[in-house]
Amino acid sequence: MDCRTARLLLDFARPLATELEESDGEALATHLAECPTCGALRRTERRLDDHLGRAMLAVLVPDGLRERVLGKLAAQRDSWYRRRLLIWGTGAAAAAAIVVGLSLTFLAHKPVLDMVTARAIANRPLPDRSEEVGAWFGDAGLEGPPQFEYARLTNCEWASFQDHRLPMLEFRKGNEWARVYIVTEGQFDLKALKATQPDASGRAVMIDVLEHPTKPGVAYIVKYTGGVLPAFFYRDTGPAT
Amino acid sequence: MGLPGSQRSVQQLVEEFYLPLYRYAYRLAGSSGDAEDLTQEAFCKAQLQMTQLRDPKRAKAWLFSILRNAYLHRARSQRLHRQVPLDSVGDLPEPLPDPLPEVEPERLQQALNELDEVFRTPVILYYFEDFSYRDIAEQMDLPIGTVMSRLARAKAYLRTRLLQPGVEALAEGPRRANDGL
Repeated sequence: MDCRTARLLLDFARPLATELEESDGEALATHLAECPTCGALRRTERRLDDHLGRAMLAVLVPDGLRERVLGKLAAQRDSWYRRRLLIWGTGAAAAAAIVVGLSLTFLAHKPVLDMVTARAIANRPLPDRSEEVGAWFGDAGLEGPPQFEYARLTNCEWASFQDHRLPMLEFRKGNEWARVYIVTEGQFDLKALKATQPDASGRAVMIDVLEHPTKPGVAYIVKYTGGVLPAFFYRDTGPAT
Repeated sequence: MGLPGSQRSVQQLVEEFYLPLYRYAYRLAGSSGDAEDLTQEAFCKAQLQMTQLRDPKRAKAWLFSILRNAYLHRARSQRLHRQVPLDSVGDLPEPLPDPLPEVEPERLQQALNELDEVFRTPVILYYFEDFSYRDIAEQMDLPIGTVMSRLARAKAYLRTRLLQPGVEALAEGPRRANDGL
């Protein structure tokens, strides 16, 4: 290595921050050991750098600096979290307000009554519920009056009658209704019942007694309005309207 | 802006680097008050920008860079320092006095204050010793050759100013940052 190269590399051969390749460092060290001029230059540079470097680093650090820095960082974190909380809180409140607003709007919005649809529903034929009634009375071995139009059945329940539980069927046609109580020979004297059947004329609510067409031990007490019982029948009057 | 730095990681940075960072700030700004403000500001910015530190080995250079930017931001608005032209800096007399004269802290800081920041920063970082030319060049976003040139001029100025008897400040009043280049 010549002196010119050595002086170029001197700057890069600092003890704590050398930027020389290992081979260059070794070649420079060899040259500095052998060349009195470059060696002296190196020693002078190191002496000056050490002297100024010590002075440069001789800075008094104020007491409590570390604690004040940490305190400042903690305050910044607290402030950041408070701001974030405020932002999140505002966002959540805004979201809640939107949800409430939408809900109120939805609740306040009532659909317009569609008369065409309502009319179509009213005119739709009701289903025949005779099988449903048969299943309901199946366990008791009973059956409803076969001549009734079961599409007009509106209710089906047990009724209490003279300490007996009687199946009751309710039929409706317009404003008129008929309630049919099913009675059997084991519960009542059916012959006497026939004998005391009330006169059906001239009363708003009438009571009639029907016999089962094929089962002599079963009868029906029918309480009805409208003056004409067959209006609730299917087979005698044709399909109800 | 988020707060991605965990309390623990930021505290580790403080424990490890608050002393060199304060010294660097003091040499840059020239007063203990400004140095402490800059140190706190640098750590606060670091806490907010922690995700930018991808390589923990670069933490020191990263913090120094943050602090220098904070200093430059202040300096731009204050324009307090006088800068000297470095054209007139001569060589040191041979041989050097033995022993070398004691460098008084106030004179050293005064001499640093007289330097433009573009000369002051590389010479301070150089004397912190563990910053390579490459590190200094990255911090200042300059080519290594430019850094070395400025460093040589700044070192010569300090040596002349501090080690040559009877040499006082070469400052002639407020100067532009590129005077003397």
